Amino acid sequence: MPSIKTRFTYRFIRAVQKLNKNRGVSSSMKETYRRYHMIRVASYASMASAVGSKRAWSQAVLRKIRNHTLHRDLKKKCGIHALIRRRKVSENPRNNLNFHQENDLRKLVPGGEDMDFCRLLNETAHYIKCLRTQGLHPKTQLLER
Amino acid sequence: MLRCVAQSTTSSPEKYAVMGMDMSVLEKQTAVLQRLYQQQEHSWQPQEANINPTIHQNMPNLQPAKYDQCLDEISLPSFAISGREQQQHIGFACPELTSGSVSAVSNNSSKTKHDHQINSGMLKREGTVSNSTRKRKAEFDVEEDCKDKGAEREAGEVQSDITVKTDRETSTDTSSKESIQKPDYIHVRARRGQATDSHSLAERARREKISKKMKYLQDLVPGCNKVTGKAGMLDEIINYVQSLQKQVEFLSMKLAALNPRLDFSIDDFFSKEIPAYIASFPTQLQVSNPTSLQYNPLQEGAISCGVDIAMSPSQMLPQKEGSSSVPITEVYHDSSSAHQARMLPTWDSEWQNLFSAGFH
Repeated sequence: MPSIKTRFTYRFIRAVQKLNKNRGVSSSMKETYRRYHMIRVASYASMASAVGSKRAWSQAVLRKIRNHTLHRDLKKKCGIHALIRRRKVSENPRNNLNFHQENDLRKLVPGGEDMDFCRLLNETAHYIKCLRTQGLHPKTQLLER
Repeated sequence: MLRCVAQSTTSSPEKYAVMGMDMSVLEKQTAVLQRLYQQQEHSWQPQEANINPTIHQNMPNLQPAKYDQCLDEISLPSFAISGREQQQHIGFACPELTSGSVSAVSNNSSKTKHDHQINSGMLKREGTVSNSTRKRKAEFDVEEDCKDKGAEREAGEVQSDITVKTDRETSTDTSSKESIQKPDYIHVRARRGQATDSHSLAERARREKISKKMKYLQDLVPGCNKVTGKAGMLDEIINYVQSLQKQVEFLSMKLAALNPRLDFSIDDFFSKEIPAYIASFPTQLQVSNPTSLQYNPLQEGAISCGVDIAMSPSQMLPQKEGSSSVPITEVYHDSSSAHQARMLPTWDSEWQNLFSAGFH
């Protein structure tokens, strides 16, 4: 069973190859910026799909991408499920006097708005592990060449 | 006062248990608070000067670390401070508590361990104070404080005993089973605070889970060991995640700027995974990878761990020898399609969406 790293690398490289193929060789600022954006999204999407739907954050990433491409107007935040989840989160006992940091962390981790704090920590741990892979391994290899 | 306290060292905790039943904890807490304030006025101890700042320091330190919402427990810090740090204060408080056993037990508790702790320094003192404070509550978040403070080792076994006992026992027998060295106020607190309704139990379980996870995150995030406290660690984690995300952006920018000129084949990147597939495919592999990965000069401390992780698989690469790269690509595609046939179509369709929609 290939590791997450392999799966991610595979998808990411394929995505970048496609990007290279489709785009011209124009190196205008705008084009470069567009490429940057697509590569960044490719990175996150490759990682999220390599992880699969097991994790809440990968689900959230994939959902965001799909929604953005398919329905630009669709606001997932207004969905009924999101509302229910967020209400549950807000009803959690406000034990944390670290509410501010907790909120910041929720904003950072995709899909973090709807989880309780315990789950948020879980997701953060996995997210950190995957971010490391994403940020270092294939990109540095690509840049090597 | 201390002398008279030192004399009676053999009273059993039961006496204190009795006394605990006589006075409500609230009364005791207010009494102790009053005593604390009185003691701050009097300068009858040479260590008074040290005690005042520690009291004020510890209380704000303890407050944010509280996770309980029970108001009556917020007044505990003062009691804890008096019990843990200033044995003299407890000694001073003895007459007012009407029982010599209080002083005895507290003196026992504050005998050797706390002597060391008092002398060892501010941090340790705070650690033990906060540790003991948390001991008092019905929710014993031992791991949180143990993780946070370096003084956990000393108080660790004490705490673990208490945690184990108070977790299992709801009766007043807890105090009698605990060793004499444990501070008496823990007996009191445990007994009364074992408001063992399901709510507080669930709260406690939840907090222990959270502390476990924070511990795990602490190992993940480099540089988190120096920070103590949940807030600091959360800050570190947030910074780390942000820096990782920024790094992804930075590298994407680099890739975007450089890549039109680069040409690479996919097989170059998967040689390290070939052994996983090579069992079923007899082709030999060649690795034309760069054997030395030169990482960007992004060697921030925050990503050094990630670098190490990424380095190790790359170091496996030079070990492979092999044939042409074409069979490898086919091999990989076959195997990957077998493994990931379910996932790839979805991913591909996503990509088509991305490209067609001109995602921005």
